[in-house]
Amino acid sequence: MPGQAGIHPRPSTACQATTVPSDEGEREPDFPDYRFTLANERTFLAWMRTSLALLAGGIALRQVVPSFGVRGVRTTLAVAAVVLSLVLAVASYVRWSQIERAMRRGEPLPHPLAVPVLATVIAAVAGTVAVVLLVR
Amino acid sequence: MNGAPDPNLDATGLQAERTQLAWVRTALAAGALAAVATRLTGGRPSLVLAVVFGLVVAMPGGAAALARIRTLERQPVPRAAAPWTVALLATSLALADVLALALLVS
Repeated sequence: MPGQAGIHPRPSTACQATTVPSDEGEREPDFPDYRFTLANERTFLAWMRTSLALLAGGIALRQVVPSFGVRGVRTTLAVAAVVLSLVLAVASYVRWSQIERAMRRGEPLPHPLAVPVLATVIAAVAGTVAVVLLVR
Repeated sequence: MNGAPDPNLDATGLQAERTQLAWVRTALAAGALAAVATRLTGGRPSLVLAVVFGLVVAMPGGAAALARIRTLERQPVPRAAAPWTVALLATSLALADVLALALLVS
């Protein structure tokens, strides 16, 4: 029964391709465990929401936040947030497809490069705001 | 009932439900962003921007979420999302980013 917990074959514990029943009740090879493929999908959606939040943050920086008193800083920070949002939107799709492929082939999952990039840019934006607020 | 987990029981439905909720949250966030983006021109919300961001972000996000949620409801054992649903969401957001960048630097 869709949408309810039910009796299903117990998923494998390995994050790799396995054989599970298809919609028609037949067995298909090289089909990733549904728990991992859904987890991958939810991770992609979490990255999408992070990207949406950065875009909204960039817009808010430009339109809602009062001027820092230094010409161009607000726009520069807003542009940085929106550019990061764009990078994340593209990178999250690439990562989703890379992980799907890796799980089907039983390969190790690719390293999450976007996490350090995100942390670095957010730290840079926050640091810039702190410096501007302190020196103005 | 002795409280021991049934080895044949797993949370397939719960996994799918969590994924459906994640799609709903993302679609809601896309809608909220489209609303916020109408203020990009400053001052009063722009009707043109509302229409553009609605068409570029909110509608594709909602369509992708709806398609995926309905697919998950039909599948006894969830399968991977169709690449077009994932690509539609990512592309619509990337387009919104480009549009916002153009408005920010203009």
